Amino acid sequence: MGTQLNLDSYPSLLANYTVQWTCPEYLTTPTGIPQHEELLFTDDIYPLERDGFTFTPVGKLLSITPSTSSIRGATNSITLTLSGIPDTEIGAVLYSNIKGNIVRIKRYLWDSETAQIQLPSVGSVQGRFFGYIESYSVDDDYDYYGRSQTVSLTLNLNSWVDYLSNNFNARQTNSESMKENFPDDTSFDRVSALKDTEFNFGAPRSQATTNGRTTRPISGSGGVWV
Amino acid sequence: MSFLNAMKGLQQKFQDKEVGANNLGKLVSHSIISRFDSNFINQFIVAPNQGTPSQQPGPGKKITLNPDTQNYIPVIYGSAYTSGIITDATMSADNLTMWYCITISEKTGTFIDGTDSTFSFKEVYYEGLRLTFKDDGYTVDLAIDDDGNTCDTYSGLMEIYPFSIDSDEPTGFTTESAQNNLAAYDLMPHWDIYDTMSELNFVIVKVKYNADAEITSLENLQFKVENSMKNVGDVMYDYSTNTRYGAGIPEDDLEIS
Repeated sequence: MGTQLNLDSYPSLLANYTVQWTCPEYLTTPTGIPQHEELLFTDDIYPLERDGFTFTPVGKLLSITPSTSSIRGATNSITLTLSGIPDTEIGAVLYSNIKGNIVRIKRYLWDSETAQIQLPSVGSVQGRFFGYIESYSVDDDYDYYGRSQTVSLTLNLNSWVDYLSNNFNARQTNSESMKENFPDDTSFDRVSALKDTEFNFGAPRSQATTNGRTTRPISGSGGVWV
Repeated sequence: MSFLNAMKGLQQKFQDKEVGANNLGKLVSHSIISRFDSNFINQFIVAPNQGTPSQQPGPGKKITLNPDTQNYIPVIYGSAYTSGIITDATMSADNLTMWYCITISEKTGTFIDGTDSTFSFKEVYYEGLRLTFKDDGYTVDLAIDDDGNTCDTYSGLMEIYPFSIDSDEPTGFTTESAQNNLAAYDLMPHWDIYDTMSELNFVIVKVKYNADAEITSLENLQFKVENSMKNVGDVMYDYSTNTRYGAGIPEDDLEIS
């Protein structure tokens, strides 16, 4: 295991989140050409440069609901809300293909004594949540008297464990399933023929094995061998 | 990133009102070290729907196999006890010998570093009794209970042949120094070279009828098996990327570090 953060050395720490939202089909107009875009932001009030990326500071405009950390891998979902999106920019949200986009949220720890200096050990960067956008909503709040408008984007994120629980391939014990990957493999060709087959194990030789319809052996199946 | 840049300006207004280093974030007094327990792996082990033998009056014992063609082949990571799924069976002409093919699990892929995972058969239990083998490594010799008592009731009446990867890859129990060297299709009487059991871990079992020893069917046979792939990172990588039994996520879409 690598170097761990020694908390005994610090009376207090500061924490910030960084969000890396990968949008493969980012569009700002309905007729434009989709572009790959890495949307990077942090709840810090200063730009944050880490891992070769520059995270845009959005401060309190970013909120992330708590997530549960459990010993066992479990399905987990959180909600990320971005407030204060200018209404002139909301097209980017509406025209881009958002669902299924990958979102990585990390937590950065800082030494509160020296503020902007990142702690020098490996433990100062922790994964907070890795998942994908399951759904999203855009909330438009217009204050008539204040002549102001607030647009919020809420992303509902599911963890990869949830994805893995619902999206998997699996080979079944039948010929068709076997041949999907191995066309020449006949190992499971007899599984359905075995259904309801009776083997009269230990019986006198005259009592053949039957499946209720025909007498064994069935061509290409298990049954009696000599 | 235009809308983020616009938000940056709005954020700046907040900052002008609330400048202060301590507003950078929340104070935390301790770190949370999260870790997975290998128990989560258990969710990937699918309990098979096994046919049950039936008994009728008369000489011998009528065994009805009712294998479900919709059974999913389990993926086993780490160590597990499993009965497997009977996917083939046949009986000798004199009705005194039965052969079974028991499918145990999928062969898993490679570790993150590219090396192959390995699958091993550790122990086998019959009716809750651990079996030992004769010098050939596959013919049952003694049965041992939890207290260490032994009996030779099943001695010579059962032969158990484990295979890893496919029909051409016979293997042995880790407790034995010898093992079978024949391919599975040379053991199962009605198999040919096209019965390859591709990318599967499985067992061929030969059972000789013996009413005195109460071997009249294949009762409650259980295997202790172990996959060398058991660390969370390797398991998540394998299950995420595998197109045969996993999520089939392209490797390029995963961040591996």
